[in-house]
Amino acid sequence: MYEMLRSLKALDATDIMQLQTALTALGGAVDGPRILYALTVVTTKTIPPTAPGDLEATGQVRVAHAFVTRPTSILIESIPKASLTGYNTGLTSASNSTMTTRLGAPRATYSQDCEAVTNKTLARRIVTRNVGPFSATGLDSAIASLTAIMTTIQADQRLVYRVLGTAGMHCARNVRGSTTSISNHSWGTAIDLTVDRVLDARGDSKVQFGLHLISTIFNAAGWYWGVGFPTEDAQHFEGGSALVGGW
Amino acid sequence: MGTWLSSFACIPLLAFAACRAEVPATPSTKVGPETTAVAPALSDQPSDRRTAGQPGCRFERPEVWAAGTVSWIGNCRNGFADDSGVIVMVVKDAEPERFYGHVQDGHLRVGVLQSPNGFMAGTWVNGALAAALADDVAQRNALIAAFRVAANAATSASNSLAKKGDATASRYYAKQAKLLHEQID
Repeated sequence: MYEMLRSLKALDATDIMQLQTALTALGGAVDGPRILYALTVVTTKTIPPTAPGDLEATGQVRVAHAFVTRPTSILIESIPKASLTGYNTGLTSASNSTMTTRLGAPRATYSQDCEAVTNKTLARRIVTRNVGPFSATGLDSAIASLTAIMTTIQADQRLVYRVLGTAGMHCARNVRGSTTSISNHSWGTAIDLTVDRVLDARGDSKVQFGLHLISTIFNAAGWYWGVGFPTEDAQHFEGGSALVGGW
Repeated sequence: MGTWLSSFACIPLLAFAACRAEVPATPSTKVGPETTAVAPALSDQPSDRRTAGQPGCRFERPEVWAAGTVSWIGNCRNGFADDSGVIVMVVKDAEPERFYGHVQDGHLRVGVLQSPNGFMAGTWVNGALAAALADDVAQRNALIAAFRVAANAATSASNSLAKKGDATASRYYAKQAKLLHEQID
């Protein structure tokens, strides 16, 4: 029941209408009544007066009550980083040295705040474009790649696409907590994403399920996923070293 | 039918059940009566949303919290929660959630709502997160600012609790302040 409620919460209005039609066609067969019960909880945010089968006896009505107090989508549920395998295969994060060699230093000094790029050659390549679910400001080549990635996400993971947001792409500053390491956001080649407006917590070694679902699409396009950093940063994706080499 | 099934197939429900993380318990927060306001869940949406808390220290309840008991750790002024502080939401059988930030005359202004799934950060209007800014650089700066305000709120709570002799809760909020400070790379 826990996962069913949160999975149904991730569906859009069209999905829900189609599911209701399908359940009606089932006519009470299979697990139709249980699914219909869960669907009613999700759509009305109330608990139906009666529960089918053993839902009450097995504590699943209590689970439904808990869901109503905080109805969240499965796409923002956290899964342990340790349970994930195969991400970032063949990819490496682009080092400051690689970035500077390829694109130049964005500015002479950095702080913990976002500041303007003073390198005029690089600044000319920083553009703002609609990449699909939102607009982003970043390096022209990165923006083009990101737009293609979003097109694939829209086709293959449309439930994630519909709730995907940005926490920012271009931002010239140091890595959080560092006075020497420049964030790759400074070159506009990295982006932080939100799912249903929720930011994945950095450094907790857990990953939002929605980010996991789209990570393979980013990896296939040559983008490195921040879950591989020493301090897990699952909301972060950046152009991998090889990809940046061509930008 | 095919449309929703094809997209739903990407969500391995049973596999997910096996890998979902257990949420560790956190210490309870014990604060003095002058800084604590506890209220039952709201049952309706009045025009003035500052109905949470006790008389003398009302505040808005974040609208994503549909139920649960809420309390305020922070100062009160002219009948409302006011200043940097923390709103704690407790619901049975679930990890407490918290809003860290700046509250003015009982209205949530800037801050971060922390849940087991992550953070909702930024400017708040009528108990809800304000719409994201169209300029994503400005949006990023707004998020960074919200986490800074939230970290300061956690530090304030930690200091307040330390003065009241609740070392466990004080340490918890000091740790939260560090965590909030380290978000948004």
